[in-house]
Amino acid sequence: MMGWGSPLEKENVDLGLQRFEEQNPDITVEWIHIPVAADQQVALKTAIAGGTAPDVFWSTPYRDFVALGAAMDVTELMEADPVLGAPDYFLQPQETERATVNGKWFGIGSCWVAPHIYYNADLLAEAGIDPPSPNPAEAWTFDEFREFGRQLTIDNNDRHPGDEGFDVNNVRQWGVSWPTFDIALAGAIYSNGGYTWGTDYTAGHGSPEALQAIQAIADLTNVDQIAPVPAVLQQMGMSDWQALASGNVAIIITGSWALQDIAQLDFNYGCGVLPVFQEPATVLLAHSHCISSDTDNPEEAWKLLAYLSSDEYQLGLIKVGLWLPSHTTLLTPEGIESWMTEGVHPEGYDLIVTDYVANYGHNLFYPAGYAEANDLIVAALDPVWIGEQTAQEALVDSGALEEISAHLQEQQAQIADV
Amino acid sequence: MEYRAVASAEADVQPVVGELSIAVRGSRLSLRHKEALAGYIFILPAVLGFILWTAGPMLYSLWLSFHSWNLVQSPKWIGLGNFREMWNDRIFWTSVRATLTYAAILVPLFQLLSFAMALLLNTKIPGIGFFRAAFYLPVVVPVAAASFLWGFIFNSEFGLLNYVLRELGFDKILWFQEPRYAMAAMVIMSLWLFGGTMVIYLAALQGVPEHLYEAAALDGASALRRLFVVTIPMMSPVIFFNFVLGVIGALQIFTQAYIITDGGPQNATRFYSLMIYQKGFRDFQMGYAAALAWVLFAFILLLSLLVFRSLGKMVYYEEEGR
Repeated sequence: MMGWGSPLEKENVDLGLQRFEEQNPDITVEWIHIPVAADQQVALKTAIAGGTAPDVFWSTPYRDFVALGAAMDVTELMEADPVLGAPDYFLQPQETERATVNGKWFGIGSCWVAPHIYYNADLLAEAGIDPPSPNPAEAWTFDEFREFGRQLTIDNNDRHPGDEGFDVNNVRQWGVSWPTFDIALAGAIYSNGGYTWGTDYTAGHGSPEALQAIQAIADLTNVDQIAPVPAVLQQMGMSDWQALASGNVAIIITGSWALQDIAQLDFNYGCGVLPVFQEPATVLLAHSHCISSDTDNPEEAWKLLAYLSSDEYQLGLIKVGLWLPSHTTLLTPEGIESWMTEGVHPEGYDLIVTDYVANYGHNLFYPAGYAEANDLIVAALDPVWIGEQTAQEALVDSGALEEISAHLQEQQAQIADV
Repeated sequence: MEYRAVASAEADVQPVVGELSIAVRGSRLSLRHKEALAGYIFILPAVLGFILWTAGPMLYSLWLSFHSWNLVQSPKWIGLGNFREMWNDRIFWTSVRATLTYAAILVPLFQLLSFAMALLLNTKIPGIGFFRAAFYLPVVVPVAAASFLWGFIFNSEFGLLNYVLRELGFDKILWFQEPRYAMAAMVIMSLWLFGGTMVIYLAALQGVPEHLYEAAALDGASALRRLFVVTIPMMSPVIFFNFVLGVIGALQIFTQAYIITDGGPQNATRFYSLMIYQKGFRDFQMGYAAALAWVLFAFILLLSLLVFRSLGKMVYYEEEGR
């Protein structure tokens, strides 16, 4: 099996594999671990090219492998499995949308992760602001978010944006940080009623709703002046949760996966659902597990795949805050009790999992050709984040979206015959 | 046993190790042959390595450049298809522009800086060794590790560089968010590595004969004039060498862009090598990547030939007395 992960993540996967081997004494799993996902993708492609593809591999955008015939169709095995084949086992309809291509099962998801709010409880208490709620019914509106962000943005002379003499070049505490990488940005777009990548291989970034959401995020920095330039906290050497812990930012939007790291830092934090544009929404994603079509050990590979889709395996990483459940069994009261960990999951976090994710979480669709398409979007949006262009100018007027659509059409043609 | 001294039939006469041939039961393994054989055996690993891991793969990639290969299925012959695609590829031209711009800015600055520092450090004051070592140190830092650090230094909000600028009263610079500043940052990161070339210039400086300086001084040449009529002409072979190597290296810039910017912002740092990597390993287009690599090779080859024909003519080689 070829996958990735931070040292903590690797530890938990190791434990899982150990248990699998205990339960299946005739199978040994060689776990080829490559620390960074991007590097693992290169290693995976190289292995496939060299004819030494791993039996099971991790991949978040896995449809490219399906289109080229590198992944095995596991539909029959799925349907025959008493546990996995049950219609309500996985969170639906998200899992079917994620794991199937043309109705056939290829990439069963490992878990779910979703972007939401993390806040520094002390900074909010200082400013006298009621923290955002993990209950989607009580979510902040985007305008409330902007107003609270304004109150939480303080320059070296204790002034706020909008105050006379506010110096945006000498801010000691930023109110908010909403990153612009695909996952975080998608949260805003879906909340405004738009979408990013469609299952019909269209790019939704050019719709009025999407453009509005993108512009609103850019304006947080350039107009409202309550957020640092987005790239700043996404660059090397600085992560947004470190900025949260050190009090440089009061509220950040980042993935639920950050909980594992945030829980290790010594400060009072809380979690809330994303601010609402039109309706509460977030996006769901995670890496899928696929069986290589070249495998010499299909039965053993399936057994491993089935184990990787079990509650037992998923539980270890949900407990430490890295993953969110994708099985309905872990969303029941008993299920929740089995993974909520004090010191990791803040009060009310179960609502994020049972209500927010389940009822308002959209599967973030990864079409074949995603890597290149996303790169094109990122390059097109660069001038928007520094206020050089509007979202409309950068995506629509420039013709960028046409180029992206053409690319997606090509990819769709390739995968149509699978 | 018979000992026969055989006079050498060839023109060169080796006085000590001559053509002493010892007849041993019908086989004549002369000392010269033995030495040759030993020589070949010693260079065999290097030659084999070159064939297996350089020449061989290069030939394979040349073959591959006429195919379309998605890494999963077998390569498909498409003739000049990759080269046609390249011509029409927007990203290709963007990449060429970015790479040439970078090289055009970096190489003159880099050579000037290395040369100037070498002149400065070509003194015998105590402690000069420390400075020479200090300026060389960046060269031994792994580029990937240094890139991470530079990412922090250039961070627009929390980075060291903007902190200094703020303290001096300037506005923060959006280093990796604005295209021209991203290019400037790339140049700065590469200039930091001037120590390696400086050391070469230093060595060459110390090879310039003192008597030429004395002669020039006697004729009334100022220090500056001596620089232009003695130092630079005498060092011209080394300057030329460093310049050619500098250009070749600059056109292949990769690591900093791969680690920090991933080609952004707005493709300002989408250098050619990075594009090859992305096409081959990200977009499943290894045949196209191979074609791109060969175009780069051909371009650098042609450019080097051009430089040799033009600047090469201006180089003064002492032995040849030109």
